[in-house]
Amino acid sequence: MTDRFINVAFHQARWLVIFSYFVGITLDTMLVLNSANLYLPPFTLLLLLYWSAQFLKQTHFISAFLLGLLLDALYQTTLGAHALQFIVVTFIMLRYRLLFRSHSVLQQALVIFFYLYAYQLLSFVVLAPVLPSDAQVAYWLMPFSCLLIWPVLALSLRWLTQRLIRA
Amino acid sequence: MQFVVAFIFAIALMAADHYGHLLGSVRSALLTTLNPIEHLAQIPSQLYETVTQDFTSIDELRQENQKLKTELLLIKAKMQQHANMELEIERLQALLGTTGKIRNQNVQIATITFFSSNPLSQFLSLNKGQLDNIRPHQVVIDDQGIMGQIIDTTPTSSRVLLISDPDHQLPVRIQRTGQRGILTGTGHDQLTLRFIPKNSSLQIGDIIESSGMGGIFPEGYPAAKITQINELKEEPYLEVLAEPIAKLRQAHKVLILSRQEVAND
Repeated sequence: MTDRFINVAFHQARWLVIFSYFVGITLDTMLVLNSANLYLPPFTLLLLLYWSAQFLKQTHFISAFLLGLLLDALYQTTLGAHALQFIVVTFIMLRYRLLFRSHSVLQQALVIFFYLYAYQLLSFVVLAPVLPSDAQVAYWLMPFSCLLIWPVLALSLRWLTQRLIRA
Repeated sequence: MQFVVAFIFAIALMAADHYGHLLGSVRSALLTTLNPIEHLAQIPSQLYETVTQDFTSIDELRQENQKLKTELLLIKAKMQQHANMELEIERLQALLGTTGKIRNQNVQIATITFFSSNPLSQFLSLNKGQLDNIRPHQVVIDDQGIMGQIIDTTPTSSRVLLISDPDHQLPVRIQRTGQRGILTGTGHDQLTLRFIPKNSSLQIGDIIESSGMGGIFPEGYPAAKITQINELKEEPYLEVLAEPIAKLRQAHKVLILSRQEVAND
C-alpha cells in the first residue's frame, strides 16, 4: 500500500470533508478545555492542509476563512485573526502542493512541521499570546507533535477516502 | 487573486472587530454554531466526573451536607446584620440630607459549562443567555468575589471575560486605604494593579475591591489580593501583583448581577 494521495474528485468526498472538519473543531474545543493543548496543533488546520493537498481543483480559501472564524469565536480572539493565519498557511500549501503530494508521508510530516512553525510565528505576531516560561517552551515545541500526528491523520483520511469511493 | 481578496477581507474584519466592535452579532452567530460542539466536546470530561462521583462515599456526602448547613446558618446570621446595616445607612443618609442611592441588585444563578485558560484568552461560558435576559457587560461573581463580565451572548449561553484576561481592566480601590487604581489581567490567573504612586502605603495581603467607577462594576465587591509589591527605579508607579479572590478555576455555580439603581430620596 502506498502512503501517497489518491486521485479523487471533491464531490465524491464532500461529506467526508465536512464531517472531518466537524470532528476537527470538536477536537480543538476539547483542547481548549485541556491545559495540555499547547503541545498539540489545531486539528482543523491539519485537516485543511490535508484536503488542500488532496483536492487540486479547489483553492480552499473559503474553508480556511470560515474555519478560522470559528476558531476565533472558540478562542475568543479578534475575529479574522485565525482566519488570516489559516489563509496564509493554506496559500503556502497551495504554492507547493504538487511537490508535497509527491513526498512520502514522513516527508510530508516534516513539511507540515515547517508550516506549523510559520503558523506559530504568525500567531505570535498577530495575537501576542501571554506566555510564561513553561508555556513558552510548549508553544514553540508544538510543531514537533505534528511529526507523530500527521502520518496517523494522513493515512486514516486516505483509508477513509478509499473506502468511501469503493462504497 | 482569491488569496489577496481573502487576506484583505480578514484584515478588514480584524480592524472592524478590534477598533469598531461592530461584529457582535457575527460573533454571537458563530458562538451559537459552536454551542452544540462545546457540549459534545465536554462529554468525555463529564463522563469521567460522573464515574468518579459515583464512587464518592455516603459518609463524605453526609459530611459535606453538614458543612453546607453550617455555612448556610452563618450566612443567614450575617444577612440579618447586613439588613440592619443597610437600614442604618439609609437613616444616616436621610439625616445628612445626601442624595445617596442604594443599589438593588437582582441576581441570576448560572452554571459554568466551559472554562478556558489559554495564552490567547481567559474566559468561561455560562448556561444562561439572551432568553434569560442576559446582556453584555453584566457582572459575574462567585461566593468570594468578582470573576469577570459578560462579553458575548447567544440565546442559550453567554461568555464571561475573566478579570485575569489581559484585555480586561477593572477600576478598583484598596479596601484598607481607599487608594484607587486599575486592575488589569496578565493571563494565567494573575493580575497587576496599575497607577499606584510610590508613596502609597500598600501591604501584601491588602484586599482590592471594585470602586464603582466606570459604571459597569458595582462598588465594594472584592476582586483580588495583593501578593507582591515592587519598586522600580525609573518608574513613577509601583509594580503591584495580585491574585484573584474569586475561584476562577474551581467555581461551578456563579451569580450574574443585573444592576438596578433606585433613587433614595
